[in-house]
Amino acid sequence: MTTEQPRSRERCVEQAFQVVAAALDDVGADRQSLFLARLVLILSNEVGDATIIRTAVERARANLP
Amino acid sequence: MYFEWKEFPFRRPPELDGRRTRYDAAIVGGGPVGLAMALSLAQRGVRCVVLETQNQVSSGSRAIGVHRRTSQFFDRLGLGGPFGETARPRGRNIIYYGDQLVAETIYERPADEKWPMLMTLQQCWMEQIMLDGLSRHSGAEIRWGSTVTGLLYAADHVTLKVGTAEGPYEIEADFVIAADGARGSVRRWCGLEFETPVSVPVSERRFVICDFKMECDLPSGRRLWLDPPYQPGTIVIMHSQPFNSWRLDYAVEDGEDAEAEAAPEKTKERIARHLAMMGIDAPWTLLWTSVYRPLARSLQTYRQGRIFFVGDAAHQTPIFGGRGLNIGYADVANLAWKLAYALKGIGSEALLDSYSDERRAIVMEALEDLAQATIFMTRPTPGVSLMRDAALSLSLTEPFVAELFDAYRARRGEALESSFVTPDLKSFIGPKPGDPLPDARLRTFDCAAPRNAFLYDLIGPDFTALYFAVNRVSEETRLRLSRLERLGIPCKSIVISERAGERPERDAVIDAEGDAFKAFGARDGTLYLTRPDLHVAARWPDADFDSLELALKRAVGTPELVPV
Repeated sequence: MTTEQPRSRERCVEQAFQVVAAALDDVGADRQSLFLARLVLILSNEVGDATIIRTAVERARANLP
Repeated sequence: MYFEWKEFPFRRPPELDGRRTRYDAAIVGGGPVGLAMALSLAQRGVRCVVLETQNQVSSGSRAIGVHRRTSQFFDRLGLGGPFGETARPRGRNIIYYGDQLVAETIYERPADEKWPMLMTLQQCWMEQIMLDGLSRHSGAEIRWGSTVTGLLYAADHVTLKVGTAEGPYEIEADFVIAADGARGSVRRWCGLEFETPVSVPVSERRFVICDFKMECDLPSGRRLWLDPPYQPGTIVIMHSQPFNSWRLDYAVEDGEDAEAEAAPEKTKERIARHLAMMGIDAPWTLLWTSVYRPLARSLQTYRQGRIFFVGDAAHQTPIFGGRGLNIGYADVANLAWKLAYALKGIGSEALLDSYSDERRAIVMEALEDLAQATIFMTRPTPGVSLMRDAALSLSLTEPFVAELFDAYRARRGEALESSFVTPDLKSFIGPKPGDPLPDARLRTFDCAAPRNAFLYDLIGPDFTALYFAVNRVSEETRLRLSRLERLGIPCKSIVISERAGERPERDAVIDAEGDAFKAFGARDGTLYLTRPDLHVAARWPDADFDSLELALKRAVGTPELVPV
């Protein structure tokens, strides 16, 4: 993957990091999974490309600590 | 009760007294698909006998969902009258989350269709209507209380061993149709096994299905509750049925015992809680209760020599989306004409194989199409449970999630992928080769006065060429259309004119509402060839009669014309 991200994308990832972190703290440990699953469904619908989702899932899973 | 079951007596067949008859076809199983097969064959002059273990039509919570294609199938069997009088259109599909409305789809009745998109009719009624139809055909015979116990294969026929209360006998037939259901024996004797496509998860999840009778002014429809307040985390489906019957359908939860949950007392308790949630206080009585396990399975082939598998004996589709019996009837529609032609020496051996190839492809596609709804409903793993909870909890605010659980939205592929269908040389708008033929409102002048008719009513039991005319039809065209009947393959033709001339000809068929030209993407000279099962066999934007004759030969498997 490319290491040089456009400025807007960098912003987006930063934003995601921060708002998701805040939401995770807010919903509490027992509802974090449900929240993340809801988020994935909404984002998948926005992305509208099954290949992107499948690849993203694989990358997220690979080397999961 | 919505139906009066009566016992049909066992009648001593001539074979028990040593008299032998060779039947054209023997049908194992007198359920809805077996009876439909008998009627379809009898209608085509095939002598057949149905062997059924029971002495009555089916009871219990069984098939109710009828797709338009099935209504049309009943109609073409000459049963449109009694079927239409008993079946009820499904008015709407409603989804609730908790007790809030998520989505409501009202099924409009399009003016250009004779039949609604979805209807409901109890399976016992479908069987009874078929039986009444069969009683008018001398060529088909039903033997109640007759269990097929084995079969012997010969080069030119099959012998079935039949067990009865008055002793065993043997019966011979050119062809055997196994309509003996999911637990049938014929496939075992043939050494065939069901398999589940890899993409479809196997689940142990059971469902309770119960029918109850209740007089209530709730409009007809299917209602699905996600997370109902009285039982959070579950999904419950309620169907309206004719004769003030209702069906409730829900999953047995992890750790519950299916048989115990389906016990009448437990079921009544559930119905009461469900109706209380709906605010309905009408009195009701429980009719049936049963346990169901969704299966997605198919045989590898639906033909073994002279033996053909139809309906649940060939495949089982999960209940979600109400397809099972509809697929069984479509099997019959595909097979009946091929068997009848084979018995008359029309078409090749490969035409009989095409039944298995064509139907199996469609069934496998249906299993794939239903995989998502099945995963959603059966929740085979903790991962699926989490994703389902996520989707359910979004259903009120994110309408897109409905596609994850509403099996009625799943794609319904009915197009044939078949080498017996002639591909387009030039593609155009309208049904493609292999697609189901659209119906259309027309006006005919076959009698003195004009009469409204649907295209399907005008199409006979065999192949039909549809010629679309804007201008006057030339003598040359008329000659070529009339010559079709001389090819040795039964084929009629219908000329559909865009408008009536000054003096319509005696056999004129007019596209008075403009339905047909639009539905077929037709212009002057457009030509379609439809198969007896009402799938497009070939088409030309501008008529090509030499190609038409080739397409007709190809459609019955004339060897040199079917690419291997």
